[in-house]
Formats: sequence, C-alpha cells, structure tokens
Amino acid sequence: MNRMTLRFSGLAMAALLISGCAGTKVDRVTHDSVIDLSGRWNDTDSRLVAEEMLRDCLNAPWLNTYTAQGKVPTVIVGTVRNRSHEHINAETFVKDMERTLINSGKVDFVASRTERDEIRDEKADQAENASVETRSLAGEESGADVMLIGSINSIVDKEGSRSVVFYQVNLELVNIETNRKLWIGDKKIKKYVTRSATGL
Amino acid sequence: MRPGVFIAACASLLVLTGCANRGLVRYDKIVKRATTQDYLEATSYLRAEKADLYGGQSELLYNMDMGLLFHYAGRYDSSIVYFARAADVHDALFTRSVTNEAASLLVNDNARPYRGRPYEILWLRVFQAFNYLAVGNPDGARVEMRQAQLLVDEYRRTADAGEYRDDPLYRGTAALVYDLLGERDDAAISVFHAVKFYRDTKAAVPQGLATYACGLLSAADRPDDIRLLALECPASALAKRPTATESGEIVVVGMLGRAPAVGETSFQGTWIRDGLLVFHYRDAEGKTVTDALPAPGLPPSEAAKAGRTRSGTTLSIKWAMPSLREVPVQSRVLKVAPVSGPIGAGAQAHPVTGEPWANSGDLLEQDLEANRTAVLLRTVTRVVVRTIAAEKAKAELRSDNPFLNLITNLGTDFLSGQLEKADVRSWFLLPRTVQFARLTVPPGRHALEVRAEGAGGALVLAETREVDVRAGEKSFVFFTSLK
Repeated sequence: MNRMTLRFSGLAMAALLISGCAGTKVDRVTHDSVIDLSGRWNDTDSRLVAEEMLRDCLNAPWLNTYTAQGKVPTVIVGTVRNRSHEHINAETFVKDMERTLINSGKVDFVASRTERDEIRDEKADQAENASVETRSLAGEESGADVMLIGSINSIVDKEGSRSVVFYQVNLELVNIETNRKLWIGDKKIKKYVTRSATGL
Repeated sequence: MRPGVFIAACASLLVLTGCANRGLVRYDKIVKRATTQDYLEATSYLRAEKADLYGGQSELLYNMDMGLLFHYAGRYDSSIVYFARAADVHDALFTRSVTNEAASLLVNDNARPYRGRPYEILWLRVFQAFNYLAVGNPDGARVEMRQAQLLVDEYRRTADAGEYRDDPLYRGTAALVYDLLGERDDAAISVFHAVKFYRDTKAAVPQGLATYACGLLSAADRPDDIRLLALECPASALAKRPTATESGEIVVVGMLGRAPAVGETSFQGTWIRDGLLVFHYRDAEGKTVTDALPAPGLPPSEAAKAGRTRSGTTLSIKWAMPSLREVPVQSRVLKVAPVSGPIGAGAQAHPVTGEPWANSGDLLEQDLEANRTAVLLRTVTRVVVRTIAAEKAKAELRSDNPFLNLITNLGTDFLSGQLEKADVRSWFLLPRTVQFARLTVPPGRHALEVRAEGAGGALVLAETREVDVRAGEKSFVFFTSLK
C-alpha cells in the first residue's frame, strides 16, 4: 500500500469518526424512565406533578366533608394557566390526575367548558335525528360542586452556559357555590442545567 | 503544505461551497417573490429550493424565513411551527463546533452555522408572540416574552456599551401582552424599559408610547417612575382607565418596508513586499476605488530563503467583508381609519397614524459595526494563512517554463481567491419598521381601513380588515406592506 492510499484511508476514517456512522436510532424505554435531554419541562416533570398532587389531594380533609355526608363530589377542571417561560401542556398532568381520581371512586368529574360545547352540539343533533328512546335529554347535566384551577410558574436564573430553573405548579379546588378554597396543592421542581460551550 | 494538497483542497472546497455567494443568490431570488406580497408562493419556492438557497449551515435562517413568510401570509399556525423550530435550532447552536470554527479560518465565515444576530433572535420571539396573539393565545405570547426577557438579560450581561442590549419593540410588545393578561406590574415594568431605552439613547419617545406609559405606570401606582422618565402626561392618560364593560382596544401592528440586507465588499490587492498594500474595491455606489496602505515588508532573511530579491516581488490577495446593502423603502407610514362599527364609549372616528417602535435598518447597521473588528480579524487570519499556503504551492510548482509558471500562478491565485466570500447572511425578510396604531373602541365588530403610505401620503397598499372587539380586551390586527 503506498503512502497516498494510507493518507486517503486515514482521512476517510477521520471523516467517518467526526460525522458518525449511524443514522436515526430508536430504543424503546419504559414510560416512567427518567431521561433529561434539554433541561426543559418534560414527561418526568409532568408525572411527578401528577403523582404528588394526587397523593396530596386524596389525603386532604376536604374529601371527608363530602364522604361524611355520603356524597361523591363532582369536580370540573377549570383553567390551568401557564405563566412559565416555556410552552407547557398542562393537560398531561391534569388528565393523569383526572383519570386516577375517577378510578379511585372518590370523586366524579364533569366535562370541561369546551368539551361541554361539543357534547351539547351532539345533544342538539340527537334532538333532531335520534329516536326518542335513545335520545339524550337536555337539562339533565350534572352540575359540578368544585372546580380545579391552577397555574404553572417558573423562575430562571441564567448566566452563560449555566442556568437554574425553578418550576412551581399550584392547583386549587374551589367550592363553586361558596367560592371557598377547599384544597391548595403545590409541587416544586428545581433543575440545574449546564451546557457545553464547545464541541466537535 | 505540499502544493498538490493545497490545490486539491482549494478545488474540493470550491466544489463544496460553490462559486457564487449563496447569501447573495438567496437575496436576489427571495426578495422578488416576497415583495409581490404572494407570501405563500414564496414559502413553496423556499421549501423546494432549500438545499440550494440555504445549504447545510443556515437551518436557523430557513426556519426564520419560512416562519416570517407564513406570518405575513396570515397563516399563524404554520408560522408558529417554523418559529418554534428556529428557536430550537438556535438553542442547539449554543455549543460551538470546533470543526466549523476551524473550517471558517480556512474557507470563509459561511462554513460556520448561522446563529442569527442578537436583534434577530429577540425579534424571533416578538414575532412568535404576535402569532400567539393572532390565534388568541395570550398565555403563549407571555411565554415568548419571558424567553425574550432571558435573552435581553444575557445581552445586558455580555454586550459592551453601544452594542445591542435592549429593544423598545420587545419592551413595548411585552407591555401590551402583560396588559392584555391583566398583569399590571409586569406591564408597567415593560413600558418603563421601553421609554427608558429612548431616554438612554437620547432619542425622542414616540408620543403614543409615552401616553401608554403614563396610563400603565399610573394604573400600577408608580408615580416615581413617571417622574424618573420625565414623562409629561396628559390628564386623560392619568385618568381612571375605562372599565371592562365600557370599551375594548384594537392594536394594529404594521410591518412596513423591507429591512436592508448585507452585501459583500470585495477587495483585491497587491502586496508589494517592500511594504505597501495597493487595493481596489467597489464602494456602496458601485464605483471602483483604489487605495493604498502601508503594510509590513518581508525581512531580507525571508526573501533570501524564498530565493528571490527583496525588491519588486508582489503577492496577489483578495478578501471580502460584509457591508450594509440599502434597499428602497416605499411603505413609510401606517394609517388606520375606522370604516364601520358600533358607536359607544371611547369610540374613535378619526384615522390614527401608527408610530414606529423599531427600525431593523438601524439595528443591522449597529450589528455590522459592532462585529467589524472580529470579522476583520478572522478575515486577516484567513487571508494570511491562505496566501502563505498559495505562495508555498507556487514556489514548489515553479519550473523552467515561464508560460507554465504563469498558468500555475494564475490558477493558484484564482482558486484561493474564489474561496473568499463574505458572510452576508441576515434575516432580510424582516420589515424595515414595526409600527403600532391603537384605537379605543366600543365592543362589537369593527371594519378598518389599514393603509401603508409613502412619502407625501402616496398610497402603497390598502386593506379592509374586520375585527371583533370584546369589552376590556385587546384585539390585534397584523398588516404587512413590504414594498
């Protein structure tokens, strides 16, 4: 092998090393595995919020006042405002909470405002087109006793390649009739994120 | 470096980078389409020609261009997608590639990925906030304003005096967003900084912005801030703001004219080794200018090593620097006139003239000036490295045949010179000015005539827009006239 061929092979090897030889690679992981890539809000944060809030919510005394009367309180999900610095979909942890609360049998949920509009449209359509026996009647909806509202807040302290991000999720259950706050829960998450300033 | 290796490297790099400056080609091809106002056609063209127009190092620019064209076309959902991608690409570019930086020292600055100019990245957030406002998602707009705040914090930490550190367009937009969300303190702080920017730069505060600041600062109970900013507030601005049931507001945001672009000034020079650099270039008006500068002479020992006499030997060199490329602007003034709508409290029947809160031309000029030294340093390093390599190659290839020597010398200089291209990438699809016109109106459906006027009130573009206004809320209308 002459020197030119050797040199060419060396260059080709180096180029391969730099560019990498694999394309897209996908590994299946368990849904609850913790993988942090960018330091932004992710599924792990969402899950941690849902778990902690749920535990707190079900153990709080507000529920006992209803169960003591033999009632199952009906809850409606209001608005969870995103006041953070990231686009966060609050629906993921709210839906997690909703599902587990319903499955616990301790509370009922009714459809939210936007869901209700769609259901009412369907009911109006049924009134015209469905048979009398199968028709769902208007005016028979369940009213909610309490509303779940909340917000996601964040504080960011950043300098160059380092940042500290603090998230606080606040959720509140409010008695719709009296405006009394029955339960306030919060979950705090703090992350220290560093990034490399140089790479290959 | 062996002569063959140098020539082969130059030739391969030339094949890879292409002969023409991609940035200049992109400008010529895109601007024609964008100024016809057929923005969707322009997006189809960009998508089809992405590889040729942007190459592999301008992913950020591609997404910013696409996002902006979709915004101009009123396709706000698509614009959100592209701007979000652009923000992600920018985030990923935080880590600088040593390979790219080294390549730029051998080839040209276009070998580095485009990271955007600081004001472009901030405006990316502002335009994304406009998109969220347009689709009725003020929480999304707040996220963008908070991201913009993080950027400004970083700029203020790292920028030198005279460099881009703050922006009244961002501050004013943030004030509108926070005001819309009912967050009085944040709105007041934002408008405070918007006015302070003008005070710090000794520029006149736009009258509408000053009046808005009076209202917000007064509502947030911040009389000290009004005094600190030396605002002369009319009594009407300090009066109690209309209640939610009385009126709403229409905010018309006009994007008028085209931003200037970045052009390339190519210098071709002859370095006379005795200590003189004679160079030629085309100035902004296209005239060829010849000038001379003293340059370091070659020490006799080096001349001896090269096997030639000290006197009379010359080197041909070429270098390119980015420079401001002005473009004519017809759309100068935003006018908004109510055509029809409910009559009631706070109704404004007379036309409102918009006021610019930002001028991208000034910002580009400031950015080029701020980076001139760094660009020049990289250019000089590159030209020196390349010239030394070319001279070595020429020396080693020298033969007894004078004609062959001439061909070799010309060929080597040509290859070396062709690699020299200025980095002319910029977000030239931005509007020249972003203007705001605010109208207080009763709740209901309103029709407005929105006009872009040129010098002397000549009509450039007029559109009729219908907008629904709810009590106590702001409705946003976005209007573009890039001519």
